[in-house]
Amino acid sequence: MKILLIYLLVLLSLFNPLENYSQVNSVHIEKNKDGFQLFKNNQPYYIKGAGAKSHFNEVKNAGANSIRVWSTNNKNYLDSAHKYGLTVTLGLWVAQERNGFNYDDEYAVAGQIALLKKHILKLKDHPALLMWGIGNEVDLKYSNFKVWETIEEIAKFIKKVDPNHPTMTVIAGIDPSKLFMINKYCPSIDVLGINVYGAIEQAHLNVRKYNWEKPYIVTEWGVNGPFEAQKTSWGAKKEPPNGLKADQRLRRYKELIEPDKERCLGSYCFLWGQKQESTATWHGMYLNSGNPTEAVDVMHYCWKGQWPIKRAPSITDIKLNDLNWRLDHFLKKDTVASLSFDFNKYNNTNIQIDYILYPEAFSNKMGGDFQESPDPIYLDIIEEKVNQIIFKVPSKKGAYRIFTFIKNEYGQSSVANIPFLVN
Amino acid sequence: MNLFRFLNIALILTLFSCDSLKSVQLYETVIDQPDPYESFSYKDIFIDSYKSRVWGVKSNNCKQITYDSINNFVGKNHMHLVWNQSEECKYLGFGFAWGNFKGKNLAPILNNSAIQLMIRVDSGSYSKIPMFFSLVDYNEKQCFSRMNVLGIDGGVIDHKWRKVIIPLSTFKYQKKGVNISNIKELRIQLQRKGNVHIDDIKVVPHHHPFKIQKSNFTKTFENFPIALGDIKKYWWGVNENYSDNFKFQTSTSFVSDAKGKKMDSLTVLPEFEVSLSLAVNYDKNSDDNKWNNFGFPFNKWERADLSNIYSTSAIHFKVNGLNVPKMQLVLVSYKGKVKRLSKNIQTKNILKNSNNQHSIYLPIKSFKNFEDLDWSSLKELRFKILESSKCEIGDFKLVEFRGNPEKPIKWRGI
Repeated sequence: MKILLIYLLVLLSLFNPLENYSQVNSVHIEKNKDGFQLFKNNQPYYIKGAGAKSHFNEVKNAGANSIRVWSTNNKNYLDSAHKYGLTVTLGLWVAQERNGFNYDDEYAVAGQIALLKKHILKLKDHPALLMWGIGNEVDLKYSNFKVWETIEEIAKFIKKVDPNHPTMTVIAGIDPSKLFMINKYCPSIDVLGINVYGAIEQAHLNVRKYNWEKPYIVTEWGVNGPFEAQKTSWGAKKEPPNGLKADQRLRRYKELIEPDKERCLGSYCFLWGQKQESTATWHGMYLNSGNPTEAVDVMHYCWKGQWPIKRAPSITDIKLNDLNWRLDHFLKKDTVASLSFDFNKYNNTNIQIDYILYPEAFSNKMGGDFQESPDPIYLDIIEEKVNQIIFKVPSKKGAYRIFTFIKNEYGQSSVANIPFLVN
Repeated sequence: MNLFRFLNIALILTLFSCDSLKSVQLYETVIDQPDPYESFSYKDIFIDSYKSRVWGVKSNNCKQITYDSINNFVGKNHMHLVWNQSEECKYLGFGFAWGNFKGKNLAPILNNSAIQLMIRVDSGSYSKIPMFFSLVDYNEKQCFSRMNVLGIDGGVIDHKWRKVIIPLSTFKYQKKGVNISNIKELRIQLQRKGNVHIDDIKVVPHHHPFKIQKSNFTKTFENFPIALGDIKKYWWGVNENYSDNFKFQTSTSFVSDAKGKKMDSLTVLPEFEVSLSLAVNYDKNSDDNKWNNFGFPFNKWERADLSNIYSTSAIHFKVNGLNVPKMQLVLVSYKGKVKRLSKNIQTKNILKNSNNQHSIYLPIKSFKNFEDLDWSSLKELRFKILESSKCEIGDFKLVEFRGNPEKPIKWRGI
């Protein structure tokens, strides 16, 4: 009889349509006198994480222990993260009203929930799974508060079928109305995820001011976003040089994220990879060539407490006709102009420099929505020095952006750019 | 005589009874309304390439549509779609000459029919496929729908032929201005990447129990005064676990106009007495000097529509203390290009009452660019204390104000 039972169990497990995993993480949150603490397999676990879909080996080498992905559409991320010993905060993609989803449409809502439940059942026992991220920035430009009912229904389902992983919902910025709604509609949410760029400066304080009594994770952070940037008079966003952005990342981690041990369970820097958001270099810690920038070194320092042996060179300032990137630059067509920049060489000997000219990529997209990258255009360099070029201003009127890229022999890079208007 | 009386009565009865008689047929004929689905003539959309015409099947670098004759669901072949969207072909689609492009009136069958197709893949299993379905009218206007996991037989698309239902009512024709009474064709639009087999596309009867609800998270306010901040749970900025700068008062010295007066206000809860007043003990030089603001919503963190009354209103509250501290008020709206308006309290806004009590009046019209705010979607009122202060603040209201916004306390109506 016993043998028959074992035989049946083996048979059942073979035919189980859901995948079986041997090492499911048991993750939970405890509250003690010092605050909240995340535990993974009964060991305290502080999240040193990156929002990443690639370069997992580099994430691990820099000292991180976790990655965050935004949706369940690619299980390979989990497998790959597990291979490198990283955990995953796994996003369950909840459709956003701003992209056309109607939370008054019962059929669409029920279908979305049914679909996500399938994904939860499929992936809940993956050994890399740390936590569920239910929705990402569903609150951005929304008007139908019913979306929180969907978030709760999914969270409640997770509580029922997966006691091993906490639930989190991720919001864009921090605001009392959003926290009120989550408190009211989503009692099954354990953790608040906050995507904060400029708003990170007050986030730790505002979490407390806005009546959030549970822990939080800084799920996206980095440099101030394009949506917070100063614009030129023709609407081009002014992007600080990478060196300044790296300094900003370092300060924010050391002074704002790391000290909040009472409520903050950790963070995910944004973006361990590359994407187009106003420019191709704004948020990405990598270039589209795949080369890492000094932002990667900064995270290495934050997570490991020491700088990598070989550091990327770092551009700290860039000027057009001796006026820096903070100003508006107007150039006359068919004239010549000079582009110069300052940089920290660190322990590098050979630095390779490139200049690329692009038409300005105006975009009204928001919140990580896909943006198309423009193609480069010909740059007529008349004279080139160590950290300066004289170039011919395009003959066609319009908005442009000129980039300087520098890299060492390992490909570690830095970048800066200046927008200008030809009239 | 008896006979005469009998005849009279008989005549009267006959006359009365004739009036009430109606011609009735022996068998009432009930005229059956024809079943709109049954009378719909264009049920088949695709059977096979011999019986159904399809346009847009020419292959290119992004799309390959072939007629596969192995493992059909019906007919002599089925469609095999392979696509991979890229920069060079942004639109990937094809269409069916449904009913030879005759104008089809879908209005009668809209709520009880669906487009049904059979689908399978060569390998793997999927719960959604990046493809859209569109109904196109003779003005080339299109409305869209897509597969919903609830409409997929078994909730999964795999190597077996699976039935997929797209209810006609899920096509948002009104929103897109499509003439649903004159539909020319059905199109399928492909996105991203895919490899599927489809067959037997037709219109079938279908009961769709789901509705489109109409949410309303907005309350319209029409009458003054409107009590503000009278429910403690909606406040933010008061958290004694982290700061003593602001504390709710358990008793207040304010004699509130609100008491005993019917107000167009939020629901009054037991916390009413408590949150009417806030003790402010703010030291600008202390460690928690950044804890200097608080706020509350106009309508339970939903939207408040003040568009009919904002221009004749003023924010009114009371301060109990030696002085009214410098403070900034911020009005926040949920939407609009301008989401915030702010203004600092000035001496002209303060009316000194007796016993260190001050009444503050801040006319909405005195906010710079007040017309730019979306008053139909108001969110909250914020306060920021700008200097060290010890006072009691409370009794917040939106009151009627029809005076000169630059001389608020001179108006005789206050």
